[in-house]
Amino acid sequence: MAERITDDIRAVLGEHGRLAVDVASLTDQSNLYEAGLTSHASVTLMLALEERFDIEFPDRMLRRGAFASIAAIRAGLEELTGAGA
Amino acid sequence: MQPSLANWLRPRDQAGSLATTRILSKRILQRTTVQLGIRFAPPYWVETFVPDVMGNKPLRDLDVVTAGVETRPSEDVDLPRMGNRSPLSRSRRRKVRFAVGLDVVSVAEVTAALDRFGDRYVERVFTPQEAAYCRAGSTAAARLAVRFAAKEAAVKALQPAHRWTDWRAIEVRRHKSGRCALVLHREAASLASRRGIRQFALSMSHDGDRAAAIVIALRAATRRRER
Repeated sequence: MAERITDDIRAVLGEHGRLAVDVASLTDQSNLYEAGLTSHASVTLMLALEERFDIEFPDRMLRRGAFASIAAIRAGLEELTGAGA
Repeated sequence: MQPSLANWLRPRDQAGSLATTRILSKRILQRTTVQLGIRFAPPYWVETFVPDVMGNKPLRDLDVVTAGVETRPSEDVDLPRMGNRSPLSRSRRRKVRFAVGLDVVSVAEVTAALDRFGDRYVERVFTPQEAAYCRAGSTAAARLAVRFAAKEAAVKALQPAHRWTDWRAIEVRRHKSGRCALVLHREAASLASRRGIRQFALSMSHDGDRAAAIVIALRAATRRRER
């Protein structure tokens, strides 16, 4: 389940992240902002993830760096969908 | 006559890439340090330097000079008073406290976001007033892009402790004269208050695929007595 979520995150990230590097070259812990994720791209990434997983990111989650890494995104999604329970 | 810093911002530079902006910034900073006779410490030597782009004032009237980096808080810089005194004179100084933010946004990215997410994108990022104004024109994407740049520039000037998420709390309000100014709401307003920011200066521009904005946040100004 976690692998599928990670694959989906990487797919969305590749489409909307506009990173300076290939998503495949990133580890789950790589800092996405250091990889080129801009503030604007993080907004479109958020919208795309919400659409893909049918969720809505609450502010409290965004403020603590929900898009800092693939692992952080996965943790947030698992919290919102209950997939990690 | 002292040259105007703004004259050094040639159109192709304003529309250029971020790398161009940084090269330009460094060049302006180098010229300015010579003109003002002040030296910036090494951390100041790179990244964003913002001249007086608001009023196109000559250098002798310049009251805001800074350099800053996205992730590094702006610091206080002592500026020598200009005019008849030597720029090198340290006898009388004016201390200006400020913070600066600069951001560049791709209009094509905003166009893509509009096409892909439509109202969800607009409503998540822009206030109803901003959205209404931008949608009323034929260049909606450029108008939205330059406003996002202004919001991000304001965030850089505000230096929040966490990733900014409430983009609608920073609003670009357009007056009847065409002048645009920042209006802060909620956490943005309280953060500005805590920072002691009394005034914001905003300049925005878009050309082709690039939209850029500069925000200067002015805090208290104090003056040292001549010894």
